[in-house]
Amino acid sequence: MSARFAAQKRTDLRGIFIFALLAAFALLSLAVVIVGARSYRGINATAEQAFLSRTGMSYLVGKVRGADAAGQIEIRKEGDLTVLTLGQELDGEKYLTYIYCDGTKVCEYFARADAAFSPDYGEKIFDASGLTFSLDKGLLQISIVDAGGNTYTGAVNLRAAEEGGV
Amino acid sequence: MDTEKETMLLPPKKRGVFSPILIEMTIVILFLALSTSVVIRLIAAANVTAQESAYESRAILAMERIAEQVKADPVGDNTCNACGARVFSTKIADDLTVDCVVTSDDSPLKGTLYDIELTVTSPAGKVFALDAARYLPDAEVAP
Repeated sequence: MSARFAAQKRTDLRGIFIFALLAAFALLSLAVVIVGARSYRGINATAEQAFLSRTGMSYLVGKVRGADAAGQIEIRKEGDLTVLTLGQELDGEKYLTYIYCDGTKVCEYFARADAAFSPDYGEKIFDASGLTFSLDKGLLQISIVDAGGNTYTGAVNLRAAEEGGV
Repeated sequence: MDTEKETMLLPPKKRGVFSPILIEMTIVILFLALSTSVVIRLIAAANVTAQESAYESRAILAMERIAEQVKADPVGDNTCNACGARVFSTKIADDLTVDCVVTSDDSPLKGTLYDIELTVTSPAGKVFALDAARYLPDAEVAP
């Protein structure tokens, strides 16, 4: 009777041990998945910030440099929006590239200078919650605010300023 | 009947200390532990790389910004050290300071060449550098 009881006890212990091992397996797997997911989210957020600060800013700086000629760069107020206008002449006709942020995204809109501006026509460049420009002594400062409130500031020294106009 | 007697006379079967299922489970757990350690190392390395990349992006953006500011006004407050270089630091964030050295070279004809050297040292000790230059023609002398 006693031997049978001992055997039963041993079987129970073995079952508990196997269950504990399986539980450890499940918990460890869950922990790895959670850590991995958190890390992935962090890396994704970092990549998103890098995209805004590098790619977005480089694009805007490139556009400004391309239009860096006397009298072609202007910061305007269009309704509630602050708009950077970059001018260029094609076949004797003046065209403007409008760059602005509507609160959720930075947009670009290319139109004839005499056409009325409407923010609805703009094409999205990248997501951002704010975009500000300031022009002082030939130095154009561009600040991009992302959805998380982080601000990235870049600057362009305008050659046109040396020619007597921006 | 005889067979039954023989079976009863046989010594009881010796059972192993570990059953095959326990051995298999132990191997599986060991494998899991090893693979988990590898995965965690990979995750940690990815995190570090992402952080370094983010810092590098911020550092480059800050250096480009300072370079453009210096290009716009290379003379600045005109405070030069004994070597004739303008040295200053600009704090962008708590962990990000841009060090700048501006040296002027008067040898080019009819102008001055400003050499702008920018460096950022990360908290981990990694140095990021950016060089820029600006040529300023001499102001025209009125006849």
